[in-house]
Amino acid sequence: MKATLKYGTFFLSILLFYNCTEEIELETESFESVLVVEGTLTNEFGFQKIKLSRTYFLEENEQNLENNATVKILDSNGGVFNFAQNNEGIYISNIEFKALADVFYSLSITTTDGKQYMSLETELTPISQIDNLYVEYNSTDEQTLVLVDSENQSSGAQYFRYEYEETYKIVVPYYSLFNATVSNVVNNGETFDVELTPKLEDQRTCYSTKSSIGIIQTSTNSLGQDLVYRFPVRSIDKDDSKLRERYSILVKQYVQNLEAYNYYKIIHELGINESILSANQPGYVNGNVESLDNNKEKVIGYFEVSSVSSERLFFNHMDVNISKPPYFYDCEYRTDAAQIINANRNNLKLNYALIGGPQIPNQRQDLYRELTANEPYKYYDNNGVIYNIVSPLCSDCTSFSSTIQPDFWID
Amino acid sequence: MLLFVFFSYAQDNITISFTNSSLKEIITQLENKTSHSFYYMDSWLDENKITKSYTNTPLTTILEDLLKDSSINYTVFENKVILTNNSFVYTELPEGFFGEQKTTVSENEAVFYNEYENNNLATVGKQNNNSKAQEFTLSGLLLNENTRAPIQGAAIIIDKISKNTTTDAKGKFSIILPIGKNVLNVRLLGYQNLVKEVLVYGDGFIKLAMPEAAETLGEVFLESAANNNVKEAVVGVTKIDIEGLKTIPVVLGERDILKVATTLPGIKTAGEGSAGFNVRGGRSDQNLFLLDDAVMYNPSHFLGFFSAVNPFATGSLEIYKATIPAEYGGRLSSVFDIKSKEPNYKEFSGEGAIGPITGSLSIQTPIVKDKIAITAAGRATYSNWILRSLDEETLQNSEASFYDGLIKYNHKINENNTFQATGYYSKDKFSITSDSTFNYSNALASLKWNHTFKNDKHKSEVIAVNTQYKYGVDYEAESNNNFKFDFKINETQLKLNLKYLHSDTHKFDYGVSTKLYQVEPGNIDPTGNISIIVPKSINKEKGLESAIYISDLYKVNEKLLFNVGLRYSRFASLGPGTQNVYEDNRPKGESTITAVNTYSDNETIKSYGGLEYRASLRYLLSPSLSLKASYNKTLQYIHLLSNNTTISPTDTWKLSDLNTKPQSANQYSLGFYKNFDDTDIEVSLEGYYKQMHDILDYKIGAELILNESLEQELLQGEGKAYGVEFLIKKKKGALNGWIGYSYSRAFLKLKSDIPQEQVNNGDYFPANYDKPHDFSLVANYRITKRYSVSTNFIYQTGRPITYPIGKYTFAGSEQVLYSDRNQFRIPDYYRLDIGFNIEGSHKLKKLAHSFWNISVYNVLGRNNPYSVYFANNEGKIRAYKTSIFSIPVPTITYNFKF
Repeated sequence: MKATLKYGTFFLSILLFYNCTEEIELETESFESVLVVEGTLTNEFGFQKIKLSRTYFLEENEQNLENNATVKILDSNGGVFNFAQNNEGIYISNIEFKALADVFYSLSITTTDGKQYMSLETELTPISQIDNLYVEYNSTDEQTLVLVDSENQSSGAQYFRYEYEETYKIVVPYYSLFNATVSNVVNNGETFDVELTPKLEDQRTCYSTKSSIGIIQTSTNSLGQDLVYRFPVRSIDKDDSKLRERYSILVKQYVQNLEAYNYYKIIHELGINESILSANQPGYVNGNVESLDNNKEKVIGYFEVSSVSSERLFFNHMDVNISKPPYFYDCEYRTDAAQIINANRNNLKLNYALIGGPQIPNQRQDLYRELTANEPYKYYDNNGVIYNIVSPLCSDCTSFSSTIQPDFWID
Repeated sequence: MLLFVFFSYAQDNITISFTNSSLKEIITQLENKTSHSFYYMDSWLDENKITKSYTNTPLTTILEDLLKDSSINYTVFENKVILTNNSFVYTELPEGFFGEQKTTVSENEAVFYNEYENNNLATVGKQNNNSKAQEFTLSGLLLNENTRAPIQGAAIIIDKISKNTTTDAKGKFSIILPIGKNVLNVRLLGYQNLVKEVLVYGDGFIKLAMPEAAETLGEVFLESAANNNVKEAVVGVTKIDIEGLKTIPVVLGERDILKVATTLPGIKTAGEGSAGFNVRGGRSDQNLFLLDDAVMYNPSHFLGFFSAVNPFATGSLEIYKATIPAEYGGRLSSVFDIKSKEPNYKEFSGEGAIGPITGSLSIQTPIVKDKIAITAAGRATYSNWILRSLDEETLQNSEASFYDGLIKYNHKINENNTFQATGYYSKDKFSITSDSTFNYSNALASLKWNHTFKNDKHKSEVIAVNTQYKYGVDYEAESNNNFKFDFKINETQLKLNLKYLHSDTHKFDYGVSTKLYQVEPGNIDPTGNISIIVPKSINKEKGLESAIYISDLYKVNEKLLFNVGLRYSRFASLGPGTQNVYEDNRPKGESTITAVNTYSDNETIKSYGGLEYRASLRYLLSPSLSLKASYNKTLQYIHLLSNNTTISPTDTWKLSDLNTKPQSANQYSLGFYKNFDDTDIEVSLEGYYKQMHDILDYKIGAELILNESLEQELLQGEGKAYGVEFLIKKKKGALNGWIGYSYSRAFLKLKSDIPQEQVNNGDYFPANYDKPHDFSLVANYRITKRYSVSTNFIYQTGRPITYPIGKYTFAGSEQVLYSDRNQFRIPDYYRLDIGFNIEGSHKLKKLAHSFWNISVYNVLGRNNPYSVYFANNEGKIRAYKTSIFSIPVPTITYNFKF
């Protein structure tokens, strides 16, 4: 019986996993430099932003900005809004303004090589509110979900795009008020003294902010009511360290028109591949920005005029009744059975007296090296000459985050 | 035995009557009434019952009347009546009997030769003493000795005069023979050769029965009966005989006629495991798959890995890829005519196989011997059972199963009428992702009544078929959007085919057909209590496709043969329904709708029609070398909507309507065919050029399902394809098989004044299935009577893909900029399979004949890329390569026959 089952399993696994997918190296076989436009004019009063960049090689990781272009938004009342590049390379409007209903807007771009581009005219989408932003834990998938409800019966808004910005508090697990420095060093660390000095600034508590990546959309087109109901904008794994202390999410809901919605949707779908056996036909998709000089030139991107609404939510793991997620890094002290060899490099106990020998590590040397490294290990504790030092990831949140508390933060 | 009869006298008149008497009884009565003695052999007299009465009639008149419909001649000589079968008793010697022959036609043997002792000698035709003709038409019927089923495609060869012909689908044949003795050699793979001596005295009919060959290994199954490829007027036709399939190495132990078809030049798939065939540069929806005349919408199981017809239920497959007979229409590129296995009228028999994935069984049995017989076949996977017995949790919830079944009922009503009914059902169910289950099913029913008219020159075929193809998706996830989706297409066709064998020069086929389509393009319903999916149902589509057609097989002379056909088809898209009317020369979109037309039930929304020319000719350059040319025009009113690069079971079919035009194609082919008789080698070289119009394509990212204004996503463009196909076959001997090579190209052009409706700037670009070089080798070597090895080797140019030509950042995430469509290619494909076949012993008395097939698929373990794609992972683009069966896959299958 056992044998039969094995035999069956073998063929079955071939049948079910008949396909083998492997990652291959990205190689650019031929390259085309194309202008990329990301322009969303909103009805929120303020400095409006337009992003211009160019395509880059598949092997590269850095975005190529389109610099020094002349960017303006023209409205159907004859208004012109000029934009200038800020130090991040984003084009910012010279004055604060907002998109108005019943006015047509278009985007005009002239690049430094004199090429002119123009978007089709577009107008503000219906105004819609996020009615409810809330969090729930889904025990089946072990995910914490941030959900949105938005009722649009009267406004007629049907197509939505979301962006979010998440901010989370970080408290390092191995914090000491002291720093350890070395002095009286002889012969590159043959002997040295360890001195403890009080820390001048707090490195225990930090706040990190991350923007959403990718396109998040929903539509109420196929639903009975114009109702966004329980739409999961963000899902966070139960073991995600972001929920360890306190977490905040700002959700922005942009109302799109059908064409913009479709454009973003196609771009999104081209980037995912759900069923490998029946891949969608990829290709170049026309946006609403065109080259005025050459109508065959490819231009990526979309200029849309969207109504926006935003909502912020704070919570942590206790609000959704899950156990405290682990810290971002593995900082636990572990050792071998003999309690001599450190098993986790992030958390070391080094004995100044141990200077090595057959099968015994030179811990004094190690201590010296880590305390004087480029990003030195931090002091945590000591038991006589046995020093417990930890990697900055476990003891100094400024090594990967910032101690500045955002203005909106509420503990 | 020579008989010389000098004079005959009619003596006294006779008054006689008989009711329901056999000829023999009548003869006895006549003997009693008169003083004549009758001389004859009992076996000549049939059992037909005769009721007649004669008053004061001369004996000769009575005999004349009684025997007029039989092959028996009579001679009254003194007080003897001599009956002869077929040969006329000459009452005087032929001219020059004792002197020199005047006739110039070489008589094969003495005209008077009549050796009744020779069992193998048949006489044909009544000798007519007034006939001066030196050549006669011998027509005949070839039957399987066991099943009494007609044998198609057998070669009838008369070596001495270098003539041959083949039997048609009804087992019938006709050949002109010189007077006298002829030796007929009847040959067909899978049957024992039959040699029959025939003494020809006049036009006549002969019935032949051929015994099946004892099962032998290593038969070539790619069947083109001797010289057919040279002699037929049809260009680009391939016949596949299922019997030989068993020795070909297969994946996962499933014999598959359609897979074998793809090793022939001109028939391709986009890749391993993609359903759908591309014939001579045509889209995958341009093939008409027929199972006993009923259309099969999805001829494959499990995403194309297996074909949907159980090989044990399949009798034959004919593929027309150039000249499509006028009786077929509705698809541009090809006809795959699958006939289910003929039942056995004589005795119970069966076949089956046990493989790693499925078990299958097929039985043939007479119900009323020689009158009614059925074939029943079934096949099913056992994977679901295995899945459930596994410990692995993820697999327990998976689905991967299919089954199919077929029943065929044949009824010989009488000599002139036969009736056939076939029912077929197949079902697939599988899950690709954990939250959705796909299922699809084909249901076919086909009824056929064949009638031969009294004079034997007219035949008719009345066909009624119905097909229903359905698929569904069940989506169940942790959300408020669980649903059930389904699609359904139903078509019913009535067809009347008539055949008129006018003369040797003209043979006409003509008929009418009409087909009603009913499509439910999509229904969605919520499942579960919290689902807020609103039930939605896209308007049904209805259409009527009718055609009238005629074709003539016109034999100008021995060398030149025309097959000229004309078909007129008409399609009407019928209401009820609504159709959007758009502004001309503007992108079709919400904003360019100028009117919405509403149509009532059965109101014509739009009708299309046209003439389809089907013409081909054959010219014999020598008896074994021919040239053929053809021109073929086809129209297609139904389209497959598939936004995928390959066909998938969730693709839907759409009828032409106000905004969707029918597709059309023109194909020109030219070919040379050569047979080397002494070595059994056949060679063919064919070239073609094909133009296609209004080929369907889509905007990128088109939403094809549940879209009420689907036309806004569709593009219709031009296609062109051309190629050269070379095939060399060795049909017999210890080593047999074939080598096929084709160089072919397929291009599409989507040009429009509207930039959004244009692809690649409106220039021609290679189609997804454009694979210029395609080489296949299928070989079989018989080591001994019981052991044989077989191998396949396939090489193909990699298919075109749209490759990224850069990245960009959009919405905080990396995205890929794709090249113009299909500007790059995935690496070339090649694969070697090896199979080893062991036949059970050939003892006749054994209960069942068994047959083992051990095969290894992809022996070289070549990691053939199926696709290369790019996906976004945490905002970074990564490239992936998918391959199917990238390792050698061994299988053992046990086949049995009883």
